[in-house]
Amino acid sequence: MTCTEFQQVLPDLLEGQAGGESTAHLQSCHACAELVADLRAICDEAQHLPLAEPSDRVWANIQRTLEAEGLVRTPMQAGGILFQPSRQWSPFKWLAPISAVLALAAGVFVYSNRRPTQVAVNPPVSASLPQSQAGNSGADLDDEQLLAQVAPPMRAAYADNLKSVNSFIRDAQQDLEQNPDDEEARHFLMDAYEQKETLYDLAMNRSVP
Amino acid sequence: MTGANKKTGEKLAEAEAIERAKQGNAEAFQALYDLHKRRVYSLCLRMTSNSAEAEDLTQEAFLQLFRKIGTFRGESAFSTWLHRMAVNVVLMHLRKKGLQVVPLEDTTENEEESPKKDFGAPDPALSGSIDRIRLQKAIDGLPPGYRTIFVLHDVEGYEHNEIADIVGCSIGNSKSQLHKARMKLRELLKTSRAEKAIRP
Repeated sequence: MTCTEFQQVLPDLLEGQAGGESTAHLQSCHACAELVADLRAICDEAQHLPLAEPSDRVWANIQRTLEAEGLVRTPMQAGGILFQPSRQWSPFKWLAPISAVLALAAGVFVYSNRRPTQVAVNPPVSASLPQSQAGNSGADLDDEQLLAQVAPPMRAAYADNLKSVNSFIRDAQQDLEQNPDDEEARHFLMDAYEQKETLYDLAMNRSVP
Repeated sequence: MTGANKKTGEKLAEAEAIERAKQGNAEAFQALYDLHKRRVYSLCLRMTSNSAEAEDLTQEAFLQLFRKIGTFRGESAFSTWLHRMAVNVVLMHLRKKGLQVVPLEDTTENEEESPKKDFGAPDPALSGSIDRIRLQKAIDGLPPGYRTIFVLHDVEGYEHNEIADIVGCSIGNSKSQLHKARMKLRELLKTSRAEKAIRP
């Protein structure tokens, strides 16, 4: 085999398809052996070229574009856990109990000014709340006792709000159980507890002057 | 943590990030970017030999990916999908610039770009003296057609049939252009070594 003939089969040789003739030529021709060694060294080094790092501006531009195109959603929309659309969560759901609590506060205020001893007759239920209450379904005996203490005209409104906040607690607990390390889920659960505490405070007439 | 465990952990993290990114989670987008930015940017840089262009193309590749992430079903590896997208973005860019992306078929071979037949040159072998910086510079010096094939095959590890599919040439052409690219690199490296030797 001549060097010219060897050069023609060289690509196959580098792909690992060496024929006997080319192997024999390699053993007898120093120049071709050197050529093969060089090309193999180039291939080997090419696999170990260091990776380069893009500048920070690349991510900044990507982030800006994602936001501009609406591909990134706010934590309330996408934060992953509590407000996944598939679970039919909506930020507006939180507005409902808050507004209800405010309305209830106003109602209690008016009612308690008219009949100041009606609400706070019995000792308050633990307002520091309600790990235990929310620990099961969120609704339990304490809720019933509380409702029993509330004046009849306000009872239905309290019952609705308790139902709603208990539902939030249940969902928040479920999310936290599934993602125990999710700070956002923990935060929402604490918020839900605080809302229930506010309801209890209102019912026990402690937050109303 | 062992290498295998780390890799499994990364894959889990990647899978979770993909699902969250589909929901529009900003942190998930960034996590995916952080996982793959270096390889994508390096690919763009090697194929263009221009850092500003490489950054723009990296940006474009990731944006295309994020826009389509909802369609990712996991049939192929996420990295394979991303790198293929990045290659296509670069090739599109090179074509727009009017550069020869598809290597010329052998019948229309450009003599100027063809490596010199060098059977018995007496200069010493390169092997053992190739450092990665010099190799990178030599790759930068390749004509775009050769560079594309060399980077895709020898650096990125694509097979000839995949390259043929990506750049739109025959498998035989890919093989032959790769060989010429390697020969050209050898020549460039020898020149570079000779220049270094005569410099004071």
